[in-house]
Amino acid sequence: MNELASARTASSTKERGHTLDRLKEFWRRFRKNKAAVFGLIVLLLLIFASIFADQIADPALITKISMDRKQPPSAAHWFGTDHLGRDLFVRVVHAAPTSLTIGIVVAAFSLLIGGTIGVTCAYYGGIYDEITMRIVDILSAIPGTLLSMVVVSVVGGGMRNLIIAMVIARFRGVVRLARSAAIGVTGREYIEAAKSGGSGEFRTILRHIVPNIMGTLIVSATMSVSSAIISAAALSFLGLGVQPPTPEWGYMLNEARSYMATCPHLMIFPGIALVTTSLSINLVGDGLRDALDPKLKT
Amino acid sequence: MSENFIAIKDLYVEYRTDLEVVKAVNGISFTVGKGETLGIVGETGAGKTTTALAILRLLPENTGRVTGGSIELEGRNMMELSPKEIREVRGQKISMIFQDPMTALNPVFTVGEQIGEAILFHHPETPKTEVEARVEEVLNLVGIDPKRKNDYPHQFSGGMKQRVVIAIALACEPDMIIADEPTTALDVTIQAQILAMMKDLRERINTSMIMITHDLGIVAQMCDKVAVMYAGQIIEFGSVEDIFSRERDHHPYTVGLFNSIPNLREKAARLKPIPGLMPDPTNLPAGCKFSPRCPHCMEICRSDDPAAIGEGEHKIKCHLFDGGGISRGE
Amino acid sequence: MENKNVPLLETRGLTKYFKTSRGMLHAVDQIDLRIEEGKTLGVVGESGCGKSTLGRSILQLIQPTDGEILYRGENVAGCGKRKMRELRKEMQIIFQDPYSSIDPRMTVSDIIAEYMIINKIYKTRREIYQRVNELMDTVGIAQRIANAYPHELDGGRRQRVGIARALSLNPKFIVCDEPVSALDVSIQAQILNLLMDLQDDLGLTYMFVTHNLSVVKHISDDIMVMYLGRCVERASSDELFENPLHPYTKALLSAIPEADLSMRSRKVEIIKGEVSSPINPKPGCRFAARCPHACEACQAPQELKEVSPGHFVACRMI
Repeated sequence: MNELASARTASSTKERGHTLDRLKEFWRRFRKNKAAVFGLIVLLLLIFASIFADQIADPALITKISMDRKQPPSAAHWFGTDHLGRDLFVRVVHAAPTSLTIGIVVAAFSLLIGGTIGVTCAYYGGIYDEITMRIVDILSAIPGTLLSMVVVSVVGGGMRNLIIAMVIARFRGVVRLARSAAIGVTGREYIEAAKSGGSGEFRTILRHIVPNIMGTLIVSATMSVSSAIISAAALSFLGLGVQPPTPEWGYMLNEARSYMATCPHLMIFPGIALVTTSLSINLVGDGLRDALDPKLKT
Repeated sequence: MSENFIAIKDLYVEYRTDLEVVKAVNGISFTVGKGETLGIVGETGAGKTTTALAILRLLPENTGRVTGGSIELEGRNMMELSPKEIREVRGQKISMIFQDPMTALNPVFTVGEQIGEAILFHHPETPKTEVEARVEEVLNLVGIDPKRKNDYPHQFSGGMKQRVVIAIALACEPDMIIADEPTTALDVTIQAQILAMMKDLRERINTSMIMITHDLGIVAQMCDKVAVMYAGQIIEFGSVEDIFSRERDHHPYTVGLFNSIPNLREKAARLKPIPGLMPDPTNLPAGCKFSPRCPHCMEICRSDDPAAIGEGEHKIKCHLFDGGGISRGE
Repeated sequence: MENKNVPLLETRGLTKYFKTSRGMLHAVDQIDLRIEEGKTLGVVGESGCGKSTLGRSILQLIQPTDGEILYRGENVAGCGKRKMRELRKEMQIIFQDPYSSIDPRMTVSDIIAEYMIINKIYKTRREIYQRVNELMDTVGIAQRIANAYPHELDGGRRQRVGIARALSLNPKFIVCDEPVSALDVSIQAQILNLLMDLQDDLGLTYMFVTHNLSVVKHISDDIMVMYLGRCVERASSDELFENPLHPYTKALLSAIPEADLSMRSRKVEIIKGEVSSPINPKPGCRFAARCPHACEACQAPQELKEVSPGHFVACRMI
């Protein structure tokens, strides 16, 4: 153990508060990553815009068609109008909560389901682990997008089904991640120590394994929000996702395809919104990972 | 003895991050002559590994820095060498053996390739047949069947891996080997094999050695000179006879180290360990660094860092010996 | 009901095999041992000898393959859950690695309190944390680090936390699995002294597993030497060091580098080679492959024979 590491451990005579100190340290490290902070600001703005979408842009205008079709951006219509005369700005803003909701819900459910399966596989091992992992392997042979498409074509479109289809496609990756993270922990002596004190299996998993892999899982979940948003957009683009009249960026991109040459703004604005959202989440995720990695000295 | 192969003078090394400055090495000086073995003894955090890394300029780039003193290799100032020159020194003039053989070897190359790589790096013109011959020679030297040169590291046990590491270190016939706790991770019977082999090699090739260890037993068996390090300083230095002699004076920390080891011959009811811990290197005490734990601490110890005093080679950094003997000040 | 003649812990034919893809791994093979109450049995051997597996098998953290474990004369091997819960309060373990034996996400006081909470020892939180404070005092850690996390502590303090945790259920028997190997020399000495003081004050019985012979001599009353899952020699601590009989024991003792210059040029009995594989071992002495005195007779299984009172050796030649 080198001097730097032993210095950290040697300053044991100072008493520390608990989670507060940890959070402060985490924030200090996160803050140093300029890109991550930028991403966080943008993300917060997007979330703000999603929550107050109705205040920012009149929801009645989402579906209001007019005779002012395919207008470029102007004072009356900040992003211009689409091929049906609807205000693009309103539609883009109202699509934000759709995408963010899908992204977050899909990531959360994948984490819950995939995490539970992965952790129990790691802890119990044996036949259960073998069989489960083989099933996951078989499922993994089918490309995610394809799988989602198949599910949607069977159960129909709409946001709810889209979310279900995407979770089915994504939980496989989480199982693997959670399992490998948990395997790293199950071998540790403090797990044996818990057993020696009489801790039951459920308690050991919940109190000892899960808290110690949360870091890895949270980072991965954050990244998967952004990829879920893009996937949802892709599926909506293909007509297999969110159905009108709910505005959705991917769907808007699809609508704009025919008018690409004449009205590029119809593609540009939803496109930028999509990319910005995804990028900001990725930057935050990167920053999270670096800030949580104890080995990276800054 | 012989002219000095390496001379360290007043070396200071720090690790610096935003939060704190770790004063890892605080003014050490020593020399190692040709064919000599110096033992650096101390506990975790004493600065032994940092010293070794500083010599070979292997300190972590972002944070580690030599902030004072000089390191001279055969009279040349090592701090002034260009990166190219220092790369030539590493492996060729000075080789290092690290503590953990499990991670020191690259798992995707055969051991023959790894030894060969060391040779080719320093002598790129060497024809393949000569490289192969040297690889086999050096494997023999460390007691591994030369036919195993095409095996991968995972096919060797811990002790054998450490022999491979030593073989790589020896490939270019270095003038000095720095061994950082080379046997700590090994079983005691394997350790005995490795130490015997190192002793044998040392005699045959006449390499100098710096042996970093916390085990006084190894020091007694292997070393000619000893430096006892504490909180980044050498608090006692001398020949191995000086350090192990019961008649001579010793630094209270050295005494404490000896008292901490259960003796195989005598049975004591309790050991007499040194109370407390090594000081926090980001917040070293003023005066003598050992003063907070020293049973003989005096007023002056808290304010003045003692100078290294002693007769001949045997030097002790302690106010107890500043003007003659333990009897003073008690 | 305590019968003073019955040893606190005894094993008969304790065996643990692991199934691997290459065959049966004989980790622990037919170990018989007895430890009297208040005494310490040292178990020494090098890597792969099975000493850690032995400790864990006795505590049934790993299920033994065969054999009896007698706690106060009663066989508890393979007992039911209810009995196991009772036993956990009597038999505990102190682990080797202070860096991985305590949960990095829990504070010191939570770690020490955990066993008591699981086993519902006290009714109120106040009582539990009072006991935590007592334990912290007992093992010599300052009250003010009660809310500290493991990564803020050095190895020695972490190990004390582990010891406090092991003591929290008031066990009578503790397996110490290399508790000082990962610590610096001066901290080792502090912890060893602590363990010995605790033994005197609380009447504890220890099984002290280690590879360090000087440490084991200091702390043990009796010592058992293991090699590849078998016991090769067993004797009182003094007797083993004065009069080692098994070739492996002799080699082990001779291999220790002594902090004594007069031993500098003494010839060390180096045993050649490496430990052979514990998978599907051949019958007969497992040390024969490396033994300088091996002969035909060593191919047959070796029995532990008592060659002098209390001194057992498994070797044809003795």
